[in-house]
Amino acid sequence: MNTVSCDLSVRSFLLTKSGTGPMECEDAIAFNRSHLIFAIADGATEAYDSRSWARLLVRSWVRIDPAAFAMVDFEPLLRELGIRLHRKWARRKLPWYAAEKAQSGSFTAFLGLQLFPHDNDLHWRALAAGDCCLIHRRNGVVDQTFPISSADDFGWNPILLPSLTSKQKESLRVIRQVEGQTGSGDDFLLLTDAVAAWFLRQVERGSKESILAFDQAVQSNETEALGEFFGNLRNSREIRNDDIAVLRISIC
Amino acid sequence: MPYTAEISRSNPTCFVILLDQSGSMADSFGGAEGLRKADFVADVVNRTLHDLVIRCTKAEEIRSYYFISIIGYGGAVQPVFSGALAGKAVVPIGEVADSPARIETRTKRVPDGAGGLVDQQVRFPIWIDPGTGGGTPMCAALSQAKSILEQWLVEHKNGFPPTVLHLTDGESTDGDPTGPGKDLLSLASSDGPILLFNCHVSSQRAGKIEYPSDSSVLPDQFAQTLFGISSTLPESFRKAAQQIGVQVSEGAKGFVFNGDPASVVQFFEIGTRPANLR
Repeated sequence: MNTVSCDLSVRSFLLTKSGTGPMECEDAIAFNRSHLIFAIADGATEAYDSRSWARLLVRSWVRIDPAAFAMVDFEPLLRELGIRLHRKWARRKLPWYAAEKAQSGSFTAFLGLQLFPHDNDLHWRALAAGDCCLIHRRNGVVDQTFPISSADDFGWNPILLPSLTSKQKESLRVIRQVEGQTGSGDDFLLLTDAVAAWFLRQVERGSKESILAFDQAVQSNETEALGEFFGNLRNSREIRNDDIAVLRISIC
Repeated sequence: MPYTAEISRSNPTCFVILLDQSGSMADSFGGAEGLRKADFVADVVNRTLHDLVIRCTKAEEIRSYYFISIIGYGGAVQPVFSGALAGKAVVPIGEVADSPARIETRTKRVPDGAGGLVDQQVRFPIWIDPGTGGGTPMCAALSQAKSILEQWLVEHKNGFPPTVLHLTDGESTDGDPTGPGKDLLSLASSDGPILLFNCHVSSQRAGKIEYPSDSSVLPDQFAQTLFGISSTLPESFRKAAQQIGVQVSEGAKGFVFNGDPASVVQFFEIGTRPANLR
């Protein structure tokens, strides 16, 4: 359906918190480049198997075109995925504690973005639940952040998307959406909470050098470069030791 | 800044639960007919262990964020795990998860989704059984906690400091606990001194005092003594208290005097909530 022609540069990185292995990363990224659909998620640390829930949600969401923004589309998708995940757990023989925790389900923050043509222009629309954050920049200058606009606004307990269908209705009430126009020279950063908080802090401080170093590490397209960049920030306690998802979409 | 270390598998923390199991713990509690203090406290401890296990459950595995020690004191001062863990002084949480003495079925009232409540059968793992008898050798119990943690800290120097949760219903019968308490409080990891929280419970309907920051509100010397060997609640514990509706001021001590059943539940909920779980 989405036939707009535009040149994109897409960079995506997943970094696990220090001290954990790559299979323990609870952040997730997926995108469908041909349909210009992008998503990240951040599974809740204390929930059951949140890595699976975060990955299932982003991978399923980017497969649908047009993306499921309307609640009439999003709600049944969430329900179907929740049922699928709980069935998968139910088929396993779990120890008592895993079986019990599985009953409470999993939770994840979610952020989805789609670019689409409208009146000969390129537009964007985003949907968010929880504390993943989108940064829209125009020629390198922050134009909009969504749904969080200040570094101090992180650290609260946001309402996340639950896998348990009986809890989903309430969470849908807190989903927020935004849309706008975009074009050549713009880029979008989709960031999970720790890196988003750090990024917004740099913007608030006017730390252009830090942001430039971040952009260069992303542009290098080398996980090692970004890993080293964030490793240094973690060592100096400038960023919380958390999983990191960075998805950058640049419009050329 | 103390009490900011991450709790991880490579840097776990430790909870030591010190339980008064003296003869008076057989008395009724909170005015409820037939509810003994010892039974109620054992239930709360079993529920606490259950919650710690669930917190460490990621998918099918348990992450070893915690070590657990439970020491009872009354006729003797000794570890009080039942079943396969009997006699063990310190146990990693994964072993706790895999070794309840038994799993009972209890009835729990849960919302029925239509504004009412229904009874639901839930599994209730049991790790400790209630015990009563003898005096209140509090000094010996505090000394044993010190000995356990001294050894544990040798291998866990850099983690979040251990937390000792001490519950008693009466005055020490083996001396003034100030000395052993201060000795225990002298232990530390690189993230700060160990934390000692004290909860005194009472069968009387005397006025309870929860998490005071000022000893002038305390009624007697015994309360002053326990206050004197109670740690100040670090910020993450204060936040945990606020999340369950308990208002605590800055500088509040981890100390409850004349606590009722609700105080005991809250004491264990707050005391096992250090932040920074990786």
